[in-house]
Amino acid sequence: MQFENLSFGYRGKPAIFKQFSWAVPAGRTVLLGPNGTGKSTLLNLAAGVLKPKAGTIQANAKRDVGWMPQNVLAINRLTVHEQVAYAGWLKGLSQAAAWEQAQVALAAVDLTERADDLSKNLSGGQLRRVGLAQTIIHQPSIILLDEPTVGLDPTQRQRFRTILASLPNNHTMLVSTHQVDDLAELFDTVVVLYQGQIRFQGSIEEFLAHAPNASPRPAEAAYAYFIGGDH
Amino acid sequence: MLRWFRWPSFWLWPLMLCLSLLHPINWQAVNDAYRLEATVRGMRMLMIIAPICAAWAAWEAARLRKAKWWHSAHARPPWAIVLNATGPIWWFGASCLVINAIVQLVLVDLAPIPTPLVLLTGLATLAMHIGIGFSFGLWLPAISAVAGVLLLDYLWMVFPNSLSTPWIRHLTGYSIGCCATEYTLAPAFLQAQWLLVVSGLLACWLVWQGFDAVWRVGLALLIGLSGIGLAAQRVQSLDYDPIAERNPSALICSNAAIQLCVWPEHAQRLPALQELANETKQGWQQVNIGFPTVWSESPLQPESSYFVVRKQSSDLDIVRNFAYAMLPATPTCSQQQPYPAYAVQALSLWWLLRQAGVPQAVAQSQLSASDFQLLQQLEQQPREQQLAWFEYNRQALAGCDLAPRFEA
Repeated sequence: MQFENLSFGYRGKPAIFKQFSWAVPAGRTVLLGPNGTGKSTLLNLAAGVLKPKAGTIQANAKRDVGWMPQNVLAINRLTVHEQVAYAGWLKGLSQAAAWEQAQVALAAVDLTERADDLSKNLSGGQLRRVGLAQTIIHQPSIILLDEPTVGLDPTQRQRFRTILASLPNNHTMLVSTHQVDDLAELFDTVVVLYQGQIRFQGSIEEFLAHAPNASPRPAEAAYAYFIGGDH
Repeated sequence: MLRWFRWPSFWLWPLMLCLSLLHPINWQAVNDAYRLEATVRGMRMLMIIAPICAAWAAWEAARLRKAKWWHSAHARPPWAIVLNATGPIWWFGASCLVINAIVQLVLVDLAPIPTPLVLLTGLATLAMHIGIGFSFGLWLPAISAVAGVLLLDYLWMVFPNSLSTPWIRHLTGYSIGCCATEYTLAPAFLQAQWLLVVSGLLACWLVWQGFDAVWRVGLALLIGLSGIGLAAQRVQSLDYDPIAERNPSALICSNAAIQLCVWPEHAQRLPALQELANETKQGWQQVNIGFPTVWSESPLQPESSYFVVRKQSSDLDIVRNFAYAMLPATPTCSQQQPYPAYAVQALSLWWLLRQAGVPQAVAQSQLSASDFQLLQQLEQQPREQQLAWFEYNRQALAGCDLAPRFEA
């Protein structure tokens, strides 16, 4: 996935991206940045939910992209299984395939037991896992996760990260977060986005190298190095 | 893609079915076994079904909108998602319309096959209502969308029928006066329905692409309003009933000295009608009144006298129709000036009926006392004098200038 000379801004507000160009690296990438810096906007643009005012986004077809929004919402009166299957159908799977693949996806996020419950009865953490199941049901080659752990308690966040780590590593994954402790070992690349520009891109080791020696929280220290007082 | 029993509409379906079965029961089967009329009567169910289906569609859209699924990036195009979400609703609504039409047909002893074009138009109109309901659901919160669509759609279906402007009622697809056997649905009425359906669905399709572009919403409104305007233009010349004369090529004619041409719905009565015509002819021959040799149920058939048959028409009604055809039509001058001959219209008619063999007791039961007394006095005169009296009054009835003669 590649962004070329991308420009975008919300109506009546200053542009977030101006002539933004970036190639999403293969493997698993975490996109760090403070709130309001354009992470969600970039993922929405990548997913096709937003349209750029200028520039292009080279990506596979929509059915090859899996996008999990920041707020995963339940569809009224649908069970977990139905909601995930419906997401699969929307992504182009046949009805039968979507129904079958929903079971596989729910097993992957450890929600098989809740499959027949109404999705609106799930907790926030479980709903986020439903969102992940919706994202991966059609086995996309690009997975976009927008702040997947925001609002979850530490236990739920750890569980979500464990599930994420258990997914097969055969696709491009871009995960946005402003929580530096999400920076687990499962990512190949760290990208820092700040004010619509890429401030850093490299491996976790390269990222952590920017933290002062003997820092008790090296990830946060490295993050602060790139975004300064906004952290 | 969702299991059918998961759709809330499914649980209301039995109620809708009951409505579609009960709706025709209130109606008495006095009409002719005319397939078009029974089908149109079945389509009146749209008045109830369309708002309910549109409200359900609004609910379906609202739940997708509330969960922010509608504006997400999907591989499926919007129309496919709408079709998937509203398909069951359309099927439920369509089944109610079809069942209602079938019940109407069966009530008049017809095979349960509705008139295809009328049925198709009704089903397309239902789809348009569902599409519009869905569009409102994408725009408004569920409660407002469902309540608003239900109320507004019901008003749209019912309110225009209470207005005195004839053409407005023909935009709702809820025709209330079609048709006696000599009429068919006016092509302009059906054209208007299809203009509304096409423009309505096109506007909906534009809205489904997103509310983000002002031009798109504006264009959708423009298309919708243009559709209404064009449809209104099509039906503007129609009267309260959206009807046109039926094509006389459908008539079935007898092969006798007096040729009677009737609509297929009355073909079974043709031998009995023929007998009545012969008896009437013989009666009138005795007073030297010629009986036309060609009678037709269509006023469009050239060189024929017009008569009307209904399912409930008695022999007296048929003979009365023959007699009416012998009298001049009410002249247009009667709308602007006095029409004195009107006073002898009933008397002239009953004199003809008496000559055709209608018993005196029947005349007495249906004429006013004074007219019956005049009729009795008339019948005591020589036949030549009676005929002269009739011919004079027939002439008077054709215009507004001649004063009628009450006595021979």
